[in-house]
Amino acid sequence: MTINMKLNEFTIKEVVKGLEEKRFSSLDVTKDCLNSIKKQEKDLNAFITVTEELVLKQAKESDSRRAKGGTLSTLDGVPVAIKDNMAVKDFPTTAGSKILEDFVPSYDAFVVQKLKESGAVIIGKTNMDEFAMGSSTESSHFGSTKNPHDLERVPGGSSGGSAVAVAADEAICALGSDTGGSIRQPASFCGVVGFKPTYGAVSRNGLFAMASSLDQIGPITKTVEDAEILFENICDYDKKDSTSNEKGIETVGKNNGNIDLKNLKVGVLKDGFGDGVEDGVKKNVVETVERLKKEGAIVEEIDIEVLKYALAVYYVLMPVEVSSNLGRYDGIKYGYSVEKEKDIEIKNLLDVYSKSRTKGFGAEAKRRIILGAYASSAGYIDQYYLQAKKVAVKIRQEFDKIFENYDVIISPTAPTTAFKLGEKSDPLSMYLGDIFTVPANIAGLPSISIPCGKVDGLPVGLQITGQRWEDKKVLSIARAIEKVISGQE
Amino acid sequence: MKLSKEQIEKLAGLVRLELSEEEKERFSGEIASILSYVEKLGEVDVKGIELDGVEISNIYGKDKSEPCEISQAELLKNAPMTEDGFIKVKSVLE
Repeated sequence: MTINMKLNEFTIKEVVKGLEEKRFSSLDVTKDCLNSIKKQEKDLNAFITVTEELVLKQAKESDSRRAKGGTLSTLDGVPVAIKDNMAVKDFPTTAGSKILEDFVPSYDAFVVQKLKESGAVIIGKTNMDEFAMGSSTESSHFGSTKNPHDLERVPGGSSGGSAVAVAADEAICALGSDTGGSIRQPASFCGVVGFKPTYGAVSRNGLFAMASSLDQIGPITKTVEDAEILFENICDYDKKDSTSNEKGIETVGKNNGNIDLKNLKVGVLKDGFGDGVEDGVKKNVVETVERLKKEGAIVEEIDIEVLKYALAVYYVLMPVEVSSNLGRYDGIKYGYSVEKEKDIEIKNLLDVYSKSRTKGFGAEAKRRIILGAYASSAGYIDQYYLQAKKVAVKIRQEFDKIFENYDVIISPTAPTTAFKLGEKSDPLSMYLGDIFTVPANIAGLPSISIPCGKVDGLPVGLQITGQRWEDKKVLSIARAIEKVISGQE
Repeated sequence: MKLSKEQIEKLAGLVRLELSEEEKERFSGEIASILSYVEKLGEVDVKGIELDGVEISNIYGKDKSEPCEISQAELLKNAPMTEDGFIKVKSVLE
């Protein structure tokens, strides 16, 4: 912490300390964040909605709670940005789609409720690929978000807005959602920390569903320690999400302790350094692995044969679930409806459905809805969907075997650094970039991306993945590795 | 394996989307290339793999009503057409 640092550049830990020591107020931190947003948004477009009065009101309330000695939690007064697919009461929540452009939820998502209960200041709603479908934030109806390290490059996605908000100090921390890498890959591209918890650790009630068997909410922060603080605040049982796992959540708290890198058993994915991985990315990750060996970690190459099918599994299961989940947007109950358009002829109810969906969804959403309908239709469901489900079980079983012998698995987060806007116009080439992140979603594993140096000025991410419900262990190992990496730079 | 125009049209109808000629052409190519990529799933031997009972099973709520803290008016405010506290829809048949 240097003297000249603005408050918006602080970590959660630093903000909490400053607030406790009364060196500054929540309003000070919040105003610095808002100023940073005002200054940079024209270039970055990280936010879809920032409602200044609502934000300032929250900060003032936090300060008055503190003045009376009644803070709600350590997070009280800390500005948090929320990905725009999580419902925040009275804040427009769009999921990056035209179909929800004017949607204002009448309730808070579970995670938002948790943050409000802890006194956090919700600073705004961040940009994202439409319904979280994409790896570049380019499919947002509200325009692309730009990477603060190079404005001609994408921030990654789909939680690109959240990653940029944190990387460009527009917020102290943020929440994202991760279905196939949507927290970790943008964190990697933007040089921040992104953590996808174990499936079932964080309730998705109020998260606009994309692929329900894979979706998970998690933190995007400046440090691993911050990720842990935010994670602890949102990891709680919720009966409104039937996959919220009460027993699992209980065990998360118990798997803690400081991890010693000495004798840590690390598996390194053989394919993590194969073809398709950029040389610079490879070099940075290999260097870190070498450093871990010097610290006494036992590093071994592992080869999970069935992982070469992970992407194929993902690109069957995900669109099938998308196709079903996005069925709810029909122009009747909420969201965009052609009924409001005067110059469109509507004959009957079917017309309302079809025309509202046709006008409301972007190209990527349409493509995935149709693909999903195909892969789950009679005649193809065995060949595609059910086969993919079974291969997913096999992937999970293989990981279970690996974690009998290893503490964590390390790989690059993404095979490349941030690519240029418009560079990946072919959907399949975009999809292939998810190769290292998707397996953790398929197997429900906790997985974190931490910054691992730069190549030509662009951040590289290192991914650390652990066994289900060993979130705390993954976080403490990540913290130890973060320390090693910062010593390296 | 490119999808035929008829196949794309049928699928679009099922998922309630109207596609332009250009979209039909583009999607059929793009979807075909994704399908040919996922084709390799067929190589995996999945004999003996059961899909039921993987870690979590169905959780049923009690068949009991609970008060909702959101008012009817609030819930309906996002609906495009309402009447007397109901959501209004177009006629099903012409």
